Amino acid sequence: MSAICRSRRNQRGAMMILFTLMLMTVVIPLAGLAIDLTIMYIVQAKLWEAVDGAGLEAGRLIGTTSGSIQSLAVQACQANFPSGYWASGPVTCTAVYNPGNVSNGYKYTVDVSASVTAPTLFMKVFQVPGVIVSSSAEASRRPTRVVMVLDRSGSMAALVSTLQTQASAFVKMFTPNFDELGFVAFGNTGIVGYPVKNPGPYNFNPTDTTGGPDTSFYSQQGGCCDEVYAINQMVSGGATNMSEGLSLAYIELQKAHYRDFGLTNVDITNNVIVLFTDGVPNMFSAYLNSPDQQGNAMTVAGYPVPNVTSPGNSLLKTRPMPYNTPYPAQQAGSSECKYNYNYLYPNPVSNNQSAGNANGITLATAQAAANQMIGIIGSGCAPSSFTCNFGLVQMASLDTSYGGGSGSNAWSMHWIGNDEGGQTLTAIRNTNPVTNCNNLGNGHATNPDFSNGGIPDVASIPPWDLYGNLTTDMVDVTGAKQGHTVSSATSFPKTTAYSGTIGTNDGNNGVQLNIAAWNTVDNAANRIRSDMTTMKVIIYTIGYSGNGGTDDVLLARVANDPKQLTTYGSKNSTAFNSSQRQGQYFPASTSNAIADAFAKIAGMVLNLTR
Amino acid sequence: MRDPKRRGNTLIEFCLVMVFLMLPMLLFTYGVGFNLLSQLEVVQLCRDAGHLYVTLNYGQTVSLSDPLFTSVLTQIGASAGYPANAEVIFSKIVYVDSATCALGGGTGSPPSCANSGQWVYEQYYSTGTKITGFTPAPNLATPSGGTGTGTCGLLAPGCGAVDSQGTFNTSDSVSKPGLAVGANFSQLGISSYNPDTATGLPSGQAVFLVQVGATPFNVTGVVSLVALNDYAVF
Repeated sequence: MSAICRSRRNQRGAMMILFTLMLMTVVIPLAGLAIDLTIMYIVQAKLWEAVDGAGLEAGRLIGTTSGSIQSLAVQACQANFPSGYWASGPVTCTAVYNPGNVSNGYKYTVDVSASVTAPTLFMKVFQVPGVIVSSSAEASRRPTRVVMVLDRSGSMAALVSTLQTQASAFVKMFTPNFDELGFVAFGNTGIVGYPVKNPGPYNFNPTDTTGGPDTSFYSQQGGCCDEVYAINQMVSGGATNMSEGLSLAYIELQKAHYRDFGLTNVDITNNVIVLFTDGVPNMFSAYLNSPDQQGNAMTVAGYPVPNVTSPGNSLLKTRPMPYNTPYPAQQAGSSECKYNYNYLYPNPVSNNQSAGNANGITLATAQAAANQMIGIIGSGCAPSSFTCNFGLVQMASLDTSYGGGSGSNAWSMHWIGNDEGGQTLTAIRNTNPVTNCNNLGNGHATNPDFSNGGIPDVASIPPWDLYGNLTTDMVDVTGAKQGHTVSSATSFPKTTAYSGTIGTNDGNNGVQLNIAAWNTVDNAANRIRSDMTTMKVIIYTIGYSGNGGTDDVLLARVANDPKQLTTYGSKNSTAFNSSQRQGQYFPASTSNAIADAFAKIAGMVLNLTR
Repeated sequence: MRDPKRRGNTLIEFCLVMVFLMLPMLLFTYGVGFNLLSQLEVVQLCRDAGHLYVTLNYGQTVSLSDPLFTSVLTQIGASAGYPANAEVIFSKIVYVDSATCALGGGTGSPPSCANSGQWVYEQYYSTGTKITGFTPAPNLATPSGGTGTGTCGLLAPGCGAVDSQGTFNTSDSVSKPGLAVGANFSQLGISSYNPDTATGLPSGQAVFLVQVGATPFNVTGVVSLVALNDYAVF
């Protein structure tokens, strides 16, 4: 017993010694390691945040001066890592800006890296006074090319100011001297609002290197004539020639592509069209003197460009009207409506009331000069009513006397792509305009036909519009024809079959023309999106429903939005084409929703480029 | 044999040690560890919220009350206690140079505004729950004349009109003294554009500042922190 007690006595304190040894050699070092590692992890997380923030700050400036980008990246990195953060040492930040070039696919990058000595509390015991922690981030993006297509039709009167504000904010989200932006407005016709051009006929040729979206879209200085300025000159008026707006936007994109990358090179830029509308298409442009000609395939990306070479059959009816009768609008002294009604006839030469008349030219002259005689046809009706007048709304003719034009080739009534002939646009088209830059698109001639009781000039609906877009229902990816039959617009005649003929009772029946206008938009968007070889255009659409309603299905189809599969009706379920770029449709019922839509599109477009 | 008089001593010592040493140590360890983790979550929330703010909406006409934005923010902030125990402040700050002044309606040559040469808020939006003791670093002035959350009320005298997103009119930003960020902004070290060296923030560009505060885990007498916080510019 005593031996046992003695043995136990000898062991007393052993646990204490063991515990102390364990505490000193295992527990405290382990606890210290855990705390030190946690602190290091916090420092590391903060450092990640620092370089991330710096990368995003500098990434937004890609395209500006490299000095700004690099210095801002370093400043933001240091700002994000306060001095002495968790007792760490001073942070070292570096930034390198790499401009894009051909070899790297025009990928512009900013590389930010940082390092700092994280403190140790317990590890100092083991002669580890600090641990170097480092982190890096890269922000990159490619240039973006965006053409906004904005509805300025008459129904936009109360909304145009809001649209201008929000479209301007959208423009400012992009980087001048880096991204390329353009702007098309459409009412009765389409107008390329930016880049601003001098007056004159629009050049449909996509290899015209003088056109297309450019990098000078926002000067920040205000005044004439950047894109923000041009947008703010837009006034409401006219109908909804949506297909011309889309077609012009695509031609403009092609011009920029050709200018930047040549005819066949793949475009590394993100090509984007943003369409805003508050209504349903009810008008389109066509050749009046040669409706059977679709045009040659003079294209950059497979998009036909009109190039009519023979008169063909006229769309225009002859009418029992005395020769040499000036049109009333001309008699009224309008400075813009300077065509003579005789010129609408297929062969007016012998009947021309005024050969050499300064107010106009003959059809033969027009054909010889430009091989074009363009008119805008449609119903001008709201979707809820198709009993309004319809027919030829405007036509283009060469007018040697037009004061605001550029010599003998100035288009007076219908400068497709430039403006609609209002002399108030003279200033904005000048190279160095300083005053009177207002009323973009205003001042086009009112439709004499409509205002005089509706005279149906159009004999038949052409198979395609001015840009080669079919007026018939689009055949979707499954081979099933759908076209206008899936429209969701209120009272749209989606149950009426498209015949392409107007019939005899056409004075108050615009149904077929409305359907044709709908189809030209559907087909135009599909043709644009089909360019998957070189430009790969993506389309976003915004539909404002507060002005009588728009067509959700059409706009979802235009954007190739996969949501159309479920959101906008099962009849549309085969329209989504997975082989084309996927866009998105944003329905909007308030001005705030419009702002949201523009902001989200900008976010998507800019993120796409990262 | 153990002395019967000493029986129970170990238990008493154990209890005393537990109560006065081990328990506080455990609570301290737990509190510190929990707050270390929370600090990590706060940093992560600040980083993710900044990403969201800047890249998703590009920070220009951002819809901070958009359900999608709010939903995503709630998800990424859950670990940091957002929205019940954390506050996130989004602000957009610009430098008032002559071009910005002119955009805001300043006149003269060069245009002159009350806030010329200063950094000013164009947007200031607080979301979540205001955290007691949370001083947004680096202790910038908040728009004055505002509500308890630091966001200006409608037509507040110090900052003019503000919309539901905390966005001020440009004309107010360049002219209302209550929208000046204040001298402490220089602590961030972000410089305005210097045309001589071609460095600094180009005219019209903004600094996006995100600040996060969260309620710490405190144990009376053991762990006592005012607030967990973090900020970053994007």
